Amino acid sequence: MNTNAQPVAPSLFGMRSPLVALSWEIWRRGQWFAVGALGLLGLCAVLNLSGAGRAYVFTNFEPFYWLLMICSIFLVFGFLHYAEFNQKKNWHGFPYRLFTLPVPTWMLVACPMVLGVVCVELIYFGWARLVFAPAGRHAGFWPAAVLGVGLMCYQTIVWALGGFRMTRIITLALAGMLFMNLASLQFFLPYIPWPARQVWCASILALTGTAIGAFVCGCHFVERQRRGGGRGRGWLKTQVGRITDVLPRRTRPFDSPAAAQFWFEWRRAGMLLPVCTVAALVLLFAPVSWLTRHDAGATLLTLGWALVLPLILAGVIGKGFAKPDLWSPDLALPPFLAVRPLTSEEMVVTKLKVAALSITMAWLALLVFLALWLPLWANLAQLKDLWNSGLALRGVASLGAILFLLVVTATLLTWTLVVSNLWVALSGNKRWFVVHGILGTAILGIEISAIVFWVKHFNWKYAEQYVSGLGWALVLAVVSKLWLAVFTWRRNSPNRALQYVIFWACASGCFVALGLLVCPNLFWLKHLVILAALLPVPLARLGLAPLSLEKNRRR
Amino acid sequence: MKHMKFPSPSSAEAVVAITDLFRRFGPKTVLNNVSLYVPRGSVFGLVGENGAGKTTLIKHILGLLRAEAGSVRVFGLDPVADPVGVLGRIGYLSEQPDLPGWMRVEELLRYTQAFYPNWDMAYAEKLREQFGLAPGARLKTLSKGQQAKAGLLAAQAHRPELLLLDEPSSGLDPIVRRDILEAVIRTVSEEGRTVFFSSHLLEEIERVSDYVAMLHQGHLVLCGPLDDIKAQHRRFMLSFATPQSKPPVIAGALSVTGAGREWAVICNGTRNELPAIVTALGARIIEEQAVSLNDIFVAQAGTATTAETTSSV
Repeated sequence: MNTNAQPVAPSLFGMRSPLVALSWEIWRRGQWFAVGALGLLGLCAVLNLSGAGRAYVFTNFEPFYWLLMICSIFLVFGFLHYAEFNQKKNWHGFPYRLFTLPVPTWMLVACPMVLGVVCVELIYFGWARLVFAPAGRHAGFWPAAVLGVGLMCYQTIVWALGGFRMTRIITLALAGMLFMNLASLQFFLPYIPWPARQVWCASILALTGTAIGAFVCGCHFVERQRRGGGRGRGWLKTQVGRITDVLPRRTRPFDSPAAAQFWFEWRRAGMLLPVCTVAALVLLFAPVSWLTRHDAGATLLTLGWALVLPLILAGVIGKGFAKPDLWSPDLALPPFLAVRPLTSEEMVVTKLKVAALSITMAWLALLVFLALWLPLWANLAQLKDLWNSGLALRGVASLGAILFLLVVTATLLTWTLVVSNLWVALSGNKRWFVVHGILGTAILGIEISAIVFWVKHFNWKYAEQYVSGLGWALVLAVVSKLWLAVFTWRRNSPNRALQYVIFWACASGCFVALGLLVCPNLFWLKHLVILAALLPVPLARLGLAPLSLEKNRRR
Repeated sequence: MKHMKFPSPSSAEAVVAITDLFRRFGPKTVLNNVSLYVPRGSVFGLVGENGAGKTTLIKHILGLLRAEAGSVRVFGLDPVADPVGVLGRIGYLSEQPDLPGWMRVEELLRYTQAFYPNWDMAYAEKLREQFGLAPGARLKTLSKGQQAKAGLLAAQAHRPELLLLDEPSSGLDPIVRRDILEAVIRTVSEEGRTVFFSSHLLEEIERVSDYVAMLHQGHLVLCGPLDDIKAQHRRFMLSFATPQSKPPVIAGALSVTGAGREWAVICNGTRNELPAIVTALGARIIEEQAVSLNDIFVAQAGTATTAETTSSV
């Protein structure tokens, strides 16, 4: 017997099994997401449990609660995203480093999946029990089941399409819409010609099958990647590569560094929005519009969604586009770009131009779709009524001008959504970026809640005070914007500042013109419209973007 | 630790002039009052162990890091204040080529060409053929060695006045290393341009460098012409009359190794004083040898570590 045996050091935090170690790692890498999700839940629970004012708070701020619930669920999805970026392989999928662990693939896949389902269910029922139940809202089990399976599918898609990131975004968007509709199944029951019981049974079976399928597919794809396959060298990619190899390519040199940078940005980030728009139109809107071609109401609804499609996509893609590299989670400017003899100001201008081209193409795609759909297979009855009402109110010239300005301002608004985050994303500071995202969401929630509150409690008796208060708030916002713009633009070159101010004036002029054409002939309303029209196009924030990039580039 | 000051060429001769550069990341001091000058037309090798501060120094030369204290001038310009003026005259190859994998070789060349008015397409083509890079190949499909070659090609084809290589041969096979070194030598011998490169492969530095600087834990412990450095450093084999149980203490020695009666001492510039010191210890010099840069590096790093330990105690 060895009497000199050293005492065995306890294993780190008692991690004696691979599952515990993997779970610990998942927690450590995403703990802030989890804290954020729990924090939002806790905040609303505390607000809601605060006694006498509960009903009042809930009634008036219900949309805010819903928004925060969605945010916390997104945070759980972020927590259990469990994919890593490999810049060299240009691949973002299941953590490659785990493949060398002596752990079977099914366990590598099952651990984040099970944790994900548990977390998302806990959060959902936390909201249901602590926030919505005390206010008399009862959340069912069906959305919880859909949410759990949705998370499993999300993980599978993220891992399976690690090398096909554009395809992955489209697939995730389509899957997301499918699951949202599935979660709202009870609202569609009256429109389904089968007995409700059969529909529920079929849906439960389908959901169970999907969950099993997601796990099996997840295991299959991760196993394939573990054995050297599935990293973007798939059949589809090979075929696409073959086609692009034979297509004519640019052979002449770029005219200027700015032109070369434009090409780089376009290839890297510019194509995403048009591609996603086209994909959504072809895969979603075209079939839906064809299936509902006899329904005039559905035409109007589909048209409305189609018109906001680029805006929604720009809001999502804009977060990534604003980063130095859309596909990288790292906010630092890649050294490959940082050492280019090009000023940070020129790099930002290039991004603005690429965003403009990207958005123009997305809107052109949408207009082409509308030009095909509306005359060829849409039921235009309600749309014609709307047009005739417009004609009666405004006349042909005015209505034509409104439509034209609507397209222009929608395009400008889409551009704004893409570029307005540049100042924070280019700074390279991840904390600022996250805080900005959270604040943006919170402000949006507060705005929605405030509007709902205002509409609910609108009293003509106080109309004058409302107008006066709103007017002063808008004046303050416009003055602050202009004042900040002076500070942010003064460190940029005067030529660029002048060019952008001219652009801003023209863009804001379009908003003003649209506002004046649309709004009724009331003096007080018109002055509010003019003030509000000066706000959407960013001015100060874009002046800050080159300074942020410079800070990122030269730390 | 005492900060070493090294002689500088006149500012007109120096392509890079770094004076009292200080940089800290959080609590860790990465560069501590570093001063060095890179003469025009030379091959300047920067050596140091991992984490010594080599990449940080190079990033300061590129203007990717702002000096917290001290100054950095490249071609007499501040690389932070005038990045376009400086970067347009530099060719840079990083330790881990971060070339965009989606680009093809020909696209990389065309893209890079746009930024450099002096881009020589014929030279670029010649290098591309020499390196065996297919123009239509995507960068992500290339091996590590081929990626390094593509990076070197993009860094060299505009015939930069200063070629800046940050551990260019790290993790590469001997053939690629040879290709890169040959390109470095050609750059200097054919066109008299300046090359600044960092490495911890000391044989490489010794093979091609005119000047050498050695960083150790953020301090510049050695800087000067390679020949002078090698001439200053000598190894003396000492023989003691009786076996020594512990290393003899010799003032000015960088390292003392051995056992029993025979000990080897590496000295820096104390050649004249050594015989008297050795005699006083009861030993005699039996042989004097030239030392390699590797021996000097190990001896210097060891001395610096000892000095750090002593001063902290």
